[in-house]
Amino acid sequence: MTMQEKKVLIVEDEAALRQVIFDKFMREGFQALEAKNGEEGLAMAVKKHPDIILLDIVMPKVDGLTMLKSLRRDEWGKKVPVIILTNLNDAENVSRAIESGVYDFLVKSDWKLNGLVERVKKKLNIV
Amino acid sequence: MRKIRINLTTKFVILFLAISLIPLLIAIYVSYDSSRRVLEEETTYYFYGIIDNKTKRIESYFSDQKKEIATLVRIPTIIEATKKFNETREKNKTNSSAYQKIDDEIRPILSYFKESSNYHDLMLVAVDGYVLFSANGGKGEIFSEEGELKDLFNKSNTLWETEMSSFQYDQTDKKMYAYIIAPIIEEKNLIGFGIFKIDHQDVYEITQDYTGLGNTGETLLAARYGDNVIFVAPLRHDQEATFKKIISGPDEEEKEILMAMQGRRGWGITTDYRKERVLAAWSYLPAFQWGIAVKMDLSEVLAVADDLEKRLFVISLVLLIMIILVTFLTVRSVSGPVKKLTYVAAEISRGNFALRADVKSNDEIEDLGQSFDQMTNSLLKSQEKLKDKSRELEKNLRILHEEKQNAVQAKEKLDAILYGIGEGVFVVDQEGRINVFNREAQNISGFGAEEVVGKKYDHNLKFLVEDKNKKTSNIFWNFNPERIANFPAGALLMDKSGKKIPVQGGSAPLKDNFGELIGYAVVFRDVTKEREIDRAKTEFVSLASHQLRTPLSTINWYAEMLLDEEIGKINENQKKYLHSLYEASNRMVQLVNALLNVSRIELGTFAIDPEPIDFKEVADSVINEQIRQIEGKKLKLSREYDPNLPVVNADPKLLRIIFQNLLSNSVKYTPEQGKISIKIKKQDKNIMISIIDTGYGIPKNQQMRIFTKLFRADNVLEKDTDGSGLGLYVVKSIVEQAGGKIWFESEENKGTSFFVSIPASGMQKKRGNKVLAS
Repeated sequence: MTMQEKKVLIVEDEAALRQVIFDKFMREGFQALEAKNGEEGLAMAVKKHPDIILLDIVMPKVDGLTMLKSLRRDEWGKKVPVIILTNLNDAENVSRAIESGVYDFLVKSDWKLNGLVERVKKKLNIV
Repeated sequence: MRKIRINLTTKFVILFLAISLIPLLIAIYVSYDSSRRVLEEETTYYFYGIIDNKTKRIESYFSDQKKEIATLVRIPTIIEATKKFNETREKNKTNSSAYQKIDDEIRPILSYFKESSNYHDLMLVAVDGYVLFSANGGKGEIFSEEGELKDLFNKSNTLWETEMSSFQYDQTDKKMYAYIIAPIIEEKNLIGFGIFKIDHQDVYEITQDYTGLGNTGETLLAARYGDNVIFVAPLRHDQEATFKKIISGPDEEEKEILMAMQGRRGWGITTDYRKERVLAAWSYLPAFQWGIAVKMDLSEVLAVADDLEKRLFVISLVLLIMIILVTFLTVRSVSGPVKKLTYVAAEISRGNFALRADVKSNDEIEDLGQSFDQMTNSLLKSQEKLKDKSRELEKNLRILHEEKQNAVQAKEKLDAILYGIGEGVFVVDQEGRINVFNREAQNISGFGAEEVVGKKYDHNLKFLVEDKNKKTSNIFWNFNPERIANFPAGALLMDKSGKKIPVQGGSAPLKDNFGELIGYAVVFRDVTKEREIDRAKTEFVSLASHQLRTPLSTINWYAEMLLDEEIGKINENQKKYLHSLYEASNRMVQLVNALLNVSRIELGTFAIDPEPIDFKEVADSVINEQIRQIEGKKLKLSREYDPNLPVVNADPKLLRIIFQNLLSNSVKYTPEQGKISIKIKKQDKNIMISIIDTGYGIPKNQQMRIFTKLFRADNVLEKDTDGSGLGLYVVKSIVEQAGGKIWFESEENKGTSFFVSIPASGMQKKRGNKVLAS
C-alpha cells in the first residue's frame, strides 16, 4: 500500500490548525480529508472510510467524543484508529476517550507536527 | 458498761487502810474482848462474894430470931402459963372459965411479945399438938396435921430443939410466913411448944442493901410457889413486884433465878425481868428453899470495857486520820508528778508544745518526766518539720490547683474554640468511638451530638465517594497513625436527611505526651460551594488552557513547517528569527503547562497513579529531551545508577516532571563546561535521586524560600529570564503528595545538590481527575 492510498481524516474546528495539519499530511504523501466539526467528521468518515482519524474534542455542534461514540456504533467505524488531538488533558476526557477505543491521546501544544506524523505512520505501519 | 475509775490516791488510801486497819481492829477487838472477860469474871467473883455475904446475913438474921424465941420460951411466965393450960385442959374443959381465966392472965403478956417482936402469931401448943393459946385468938385445934410443919413439930418434939420452917406464901395476906417452933421445958420435962409465926420483911433490908452494886445491881430473892417461882423481896426496879412477879419466862429470861431455884450455883449473862442484858451470879439457900441471885446490867458491868472501847475508838480514829493523811501525802508525792505529767501530756496532745513536765521528785518519776520532756522536744522538732512539709505540700497543692485551673481554662478555651470553629470537627478514640462532635459538625451532618457521641463514627456518619456513574461506595476509612490522611477527592457525607453533601477534610492522629496514640481528630467542611467554584475554575482553566494552547499550537506548527522549509527555502537570517519565535512559543507552552499544574496541585485535584517503573529509563528519557541544551552549554553530564535498582511503583508522568524540572534547573543555572551528575540508588527503604551541579548555587539567605511559588533567586534573575518560579514548587508538591521527601544543599558559586527520596514501597496512590502536564 502506498502512501497515496492512506486517508487521514482531520476533524478540527480551528481553521488555521486544520490547514497546517492538512498541509503537513498532504506533503507527507497522505490523502488528507478534513472536517470542521463532529457532524461533518462523522459524515466524512462514513463516506470516505479514512484509515485513521485525527480528532479534536472541543468543537461546535457535535464534539469529538460524541462523534467518536457514534462512530463506534458503525460497523466500519468500530475498527478505525483514532488519535485524539486536543488541548484538554483532564483525566475525565482521557479516560472517556480511551474507553471509546482511541489509539492515542495527544496534547496539541506538546507535540511537533513531525511527531504527530511519526505517530500516524507508526500506527499505519508505514516506514 | 462503764468501768468505775478509781484514782491513784483512793487506791493507795484503801490499800493502806486495809493494811493498817485490819490488825488495829483485831487488836481493839482482842483487847476489848479480854478486858470484858476479865471484867465479867471479876464481877462474877464479886457477885459470889455478895451472895455469900447476903446469905450469911439472912441466915444469921433467922438464927437470931430462933435464939430470941428459944430464949423467950424459957421465961417463967410462958412456962407457967403452959403448965396451967395443960393442967386446966386435963381437969376442966378448955372452954371452962378456969381455962379462960388463964388465957386472960397470959394474953396481955404474950400479946406484948407478939407486938414488940413483930410476930404475926404466938401460939402455945401442947405436946400432942393441941393449940392451947393463940395470940390471934385461935385455940383448941391441932397445930398441924401434916406437911412440913408436922414434920418440923415432930422433929422438935423429939430433939427438944428450936426448929424453923420454910416460908410459905399466904394467899390471903399476900405475905410469906414461916414458923419457929421452940420446945417449952419445965424441969427437964417437955410441956409444950411455943410456936411463932414470922415474916421475912427484915430480910428486905438485906436484899435492898445495894452497896457495891452500882446503879443497876440488885439482889434477887425468889421462892417456889406451886409450880411457879415468885420474887419474895422487892425488886430494885419494880418495888411492887414482890410476890406478884411470877417467873415463867423463856429459857434465857430470868435464867439466873430459875437456875438458883434449881439449887445450882453459877453465873452467866442473861436477860432479867426488864429484858435487860445482865451479868448474874446465883445460888440456892436450902434452909429457906430460896434462890438468891446478884445481878447487874451488863452495860454497867462492862462500862470500863466500853470506856476502853470508846478510847480505843478515838485512838483508832486518830490513827485512821493519820494513816489517811500519810497515805495521801505519800501518794501525792507519786501521783502529783504523775498528774502533772498527765496534764502536760494532755496539753501537748492539744498542741500546747510550750509546756514541760519538769518533775523534781528525785526518783524514777523524775526520770520519766525528763524522758517525757525529751520526747516532747523531739516531738516539737518533728512537728515543726511536719509543719514545714505541710506548708510545702500546701504550696504545691496551691500550685497544682492553679495549674489545674489553668488547664481547665485552657481546656474550656480549647473546647470553646473546637466547638465554635467553622469546621466540622469530631474526635474519635482508638476504637473509633466519637467523644467530641462540634457545632459545625452537627450543622453539616444534621445529627445532634447526643446521637453520635459514644458511638462508632460510621454508625451515623456515612462518608462516600461517587464515581462518574453516580455509583457510591463508602470511603474505606484508613486512619493513619503517623500522619494526616486527607479525604479522597469528591468525598460526600450523607446527612441525616439522606442528602449527599460534598465534604473535604482529613483525619489527624492524636497523641498524648508520651507519644501514645489516643485517637483521631477528623476535620471536615461542607465544600458544596467550593465544589461549584472548583468546577467553574476547572472549566475556566480548561477553557483557558484550551484557548491558550490552540493559538500556541498554531504558532508552533506553522513555525515548524517554515523552519523545516516545507513551504519553501528560507535564508539563514529568516531561519534564525523564525527559530526564536518558535522557542518563545514553546516556552509559552511550558508556562501554560506549569500554570495548569500549579492550579491542579492547589486544587488538590491531580491524580497519582503509580505503576511499575524503572527510574533509570525515565531519567535517561529526560536527559535525551534536554541533550541539546546540555551539549549547547558543553556541560559534562555523568550518571551513576545503582545496578540493583528495583522496579518501583511510581506515576511516570510525575516522575518525569520531577526529573525534568530538577535537570532543567541544573542545566539552566550551571555555567558552560560545568558538571552535572545524576545519581539513582536504593538507600535503606527509599530510592534516592541526586542531581548535583557545579552551578551558581543559591544564596544562603534565600535558600529558605526556593520552594515558594513564583520565587526566583536574585543571582539567577539576570542570567536567565525564562524561569517561571513554579518548577520547584510543583516538584516539592508532587514529591510530598507522593509520600517522598525533597531537600537540597547549596553554596553560592560552587553548586547545588538536590535530593529526592521516594519510598521503595512506591508512591502513594491518589485519586484525582486531573493529570499534571509535563
